[in-house]
Amino acid sequence: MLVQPSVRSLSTIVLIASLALAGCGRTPDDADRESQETLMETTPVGTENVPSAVWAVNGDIKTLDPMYTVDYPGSTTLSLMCESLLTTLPDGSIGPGVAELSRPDETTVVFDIDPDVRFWDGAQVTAEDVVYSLDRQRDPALGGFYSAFFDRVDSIEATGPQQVTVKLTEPDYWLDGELASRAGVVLQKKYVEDRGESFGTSSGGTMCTGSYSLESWEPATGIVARANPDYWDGETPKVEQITIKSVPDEAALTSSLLTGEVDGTYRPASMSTLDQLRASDDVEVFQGPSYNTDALIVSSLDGPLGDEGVRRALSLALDRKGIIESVYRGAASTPHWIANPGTFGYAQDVFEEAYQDAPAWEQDLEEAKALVKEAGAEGKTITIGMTRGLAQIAAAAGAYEAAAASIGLKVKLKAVSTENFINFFIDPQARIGLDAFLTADYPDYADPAAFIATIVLPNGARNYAALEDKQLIELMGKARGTADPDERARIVIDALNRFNEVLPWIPLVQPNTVLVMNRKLTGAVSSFAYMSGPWAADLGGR
Amino acid sequence: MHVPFLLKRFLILLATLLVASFVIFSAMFLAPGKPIAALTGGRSVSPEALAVLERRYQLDEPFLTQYWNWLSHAVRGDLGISIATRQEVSELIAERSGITFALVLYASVLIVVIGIGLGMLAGLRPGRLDTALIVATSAAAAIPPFLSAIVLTMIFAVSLGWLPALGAGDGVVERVEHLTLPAVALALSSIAVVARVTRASIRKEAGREHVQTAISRGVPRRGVITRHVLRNAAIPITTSTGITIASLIAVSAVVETAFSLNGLGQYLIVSSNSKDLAVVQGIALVLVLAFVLLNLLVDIAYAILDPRVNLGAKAA
Repeated sequence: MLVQPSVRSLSTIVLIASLALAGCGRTPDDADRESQETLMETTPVGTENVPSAVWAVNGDIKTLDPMYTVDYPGSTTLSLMCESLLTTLPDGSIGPGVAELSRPDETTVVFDIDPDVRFWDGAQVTAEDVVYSLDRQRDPALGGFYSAFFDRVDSIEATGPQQVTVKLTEPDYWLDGELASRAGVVLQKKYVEDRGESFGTSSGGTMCTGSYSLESWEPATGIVARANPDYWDGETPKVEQITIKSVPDEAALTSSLLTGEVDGTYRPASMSTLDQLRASDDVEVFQGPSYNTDALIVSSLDGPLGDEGVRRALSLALDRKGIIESVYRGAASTPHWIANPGTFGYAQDVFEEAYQDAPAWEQDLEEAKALVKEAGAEGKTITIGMTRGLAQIAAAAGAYEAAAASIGLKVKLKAVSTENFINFFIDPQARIGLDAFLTADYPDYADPAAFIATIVLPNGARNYAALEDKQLIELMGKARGTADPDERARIVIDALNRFNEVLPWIPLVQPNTVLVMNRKLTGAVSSFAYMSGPWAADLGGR
Repeated sequence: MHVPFLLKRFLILLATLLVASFVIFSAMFLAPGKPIAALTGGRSVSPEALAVLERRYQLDEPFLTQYWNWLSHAVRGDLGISIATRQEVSELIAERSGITFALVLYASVLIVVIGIGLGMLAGLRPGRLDTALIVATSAAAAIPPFLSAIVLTMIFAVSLGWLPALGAGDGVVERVEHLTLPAVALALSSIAVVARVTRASIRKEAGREHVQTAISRGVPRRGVITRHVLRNAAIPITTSTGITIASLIAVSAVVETAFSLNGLGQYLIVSSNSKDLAVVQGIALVLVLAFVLLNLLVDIAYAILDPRVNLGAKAA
């Protein structure tokens, strides 16, 4: 979910109108758009040195402490400067990062730290730093957002100056993904301890190992990151200085991209000025694979949505093409599964083949009506929690409302403010009286299982309806402990197909990653991997 | 006479701040939603982690305890820390106050110089210019700041490339350059309003008996205008300008958002949306203070402009 100010829709309309009046740029051409913007994982490597660039994020950066970083602005900034034990590559796969992983046996994971890795201050990364970083993440008393993912970890110990051994209670092949993301960021122990409470704030800063180091952080102006001349792994980046700036307003972002005051940004694909940006000669819009899925979360099984047939009927009745055109201007696709194909971070061929075999969720009103009739649910009312403050959520609510109406169901929309909308996700009180609410969500790393597990497991953070499907639970348990990636993928595929039958969440559409960059720059990662892996390492002029 | 006046004003200010802080705190507390939600950005997070964080920020305490905690620190100058950023509120506000102060000051200068200037011109020289100004100000007064922000950006930043569209800039020259479009956007409709009030007041004063008498007796026009017309028109002009400028403090939020200026107004919106209590309280105090001080300035201006006005009496 992302939260933006609500005045923007009106101001954006005005912006579009004034752009038209100003007569700048080319007219957007739909055919042009389809053919030119095929999904790319990254953009061509930049070759020229550039003194500085401004990168916009859609809100204030609250913290650089990885254990409290979850949103877009924080993750984008963190992944620019800080590195994890393992690295998320642009295609979502996982490679060695600060350390290399090996498994001497099923319940032992050994991390051999690359002896060349240095923090920004020149100090070598030691096993002590790594143990400290992981212990902070998993300590429940600290309230870190990722501690639950360490539930199979028994102990984390330094077994050499450059070696850390993690003992597991059960085999766990999901740990790799978490450790290639924010949960695995390596911090300098001494620095964190010295800063105490101020660590990760604008006054305390942070100490990481990435190719960009933290130069300054003024809460009102943004973060300045400087290319690290002594970067341990490969070359110093071509862009000498990157300023991360919060520009939540779409109209302001669009004009500053057009004037060149902002050089690049990752933006939700629902951005309403996408066509205006596409029409500009000064900026380029890239689309890449994403982990994102927009969906309806079934939060109560007591109402009509307690019936599997009704959930399926609602899914079949959705006009997904309409949403893709009107809200996403083509930058989204119709789901086959709950997980976006951009999450196929391993066994990609296995996933891809099964994905093609699984039918896309196309509209089928006849079958949907029959299912509603069969369930005896005609005329029943579904209450959906939504907000009008977020354009794509409001549009999605409309799509479900229309779908329900077309098959003889009624929908009552419970509209709340943008800020109260967040509470549906964390406050059970806020969900009382709802059958479902809308979301735009993504897993922490590129694995469909990372998404499904939190939705279907009894203790999953996203299991709002307390649904218990034995088959899904079993498949998830099996997948987590299966070493061979292809075999694991096949189990996850079974789970994805099973999910399509049970539908604890009803997928709407799967938006792409959208990267907008000034044409003088190139080299930024254009897949969702920018949220956890280095995205500016190849950024430069062209 | 002036000392008891200022003392009284100061006491009223303190009472206003106290009442405002309590009202705002209660409103924020009663509004649905959890302050911790802002930290998650709307993503699903385990309830255990949330419980730990609520305890850390003492959000599980009862209302009055929380208010007392805040108040007892605030009177000692400690405005607390922001939940979202774990930074000192006073620091967070100080940086942003500068931007908002500069923006409002810039816009005020435009309003006073251009608004009153045009109004005087139109008021003293009836004719074509006056008619043109009436039309122009009618249109300008109807344009809300968010609209003028976008149109100005499209023309002067995107199409012509004369001025920047984003941010506040560093250093005096850059700051003025960056704040020009926002200040114009903020001031535009107010300039029109002040110009019209000025024009109307001058017309009214110019038509009064003593002015006509003075003119008919051959008193030089210049002296009549400065001593009789402008002096008397100054009171309503000061009132409307004062109110307009005070309202800029609130309206600035819209313009700040449109130009991505990290000022107080924009920050107040973000913080109240995320229920970052300490920050909202801090900003509200600054705004109330600014409002009260501005009113005080207007009252003092009255006294200077019109000796009949008694400061002590006005204060009540």
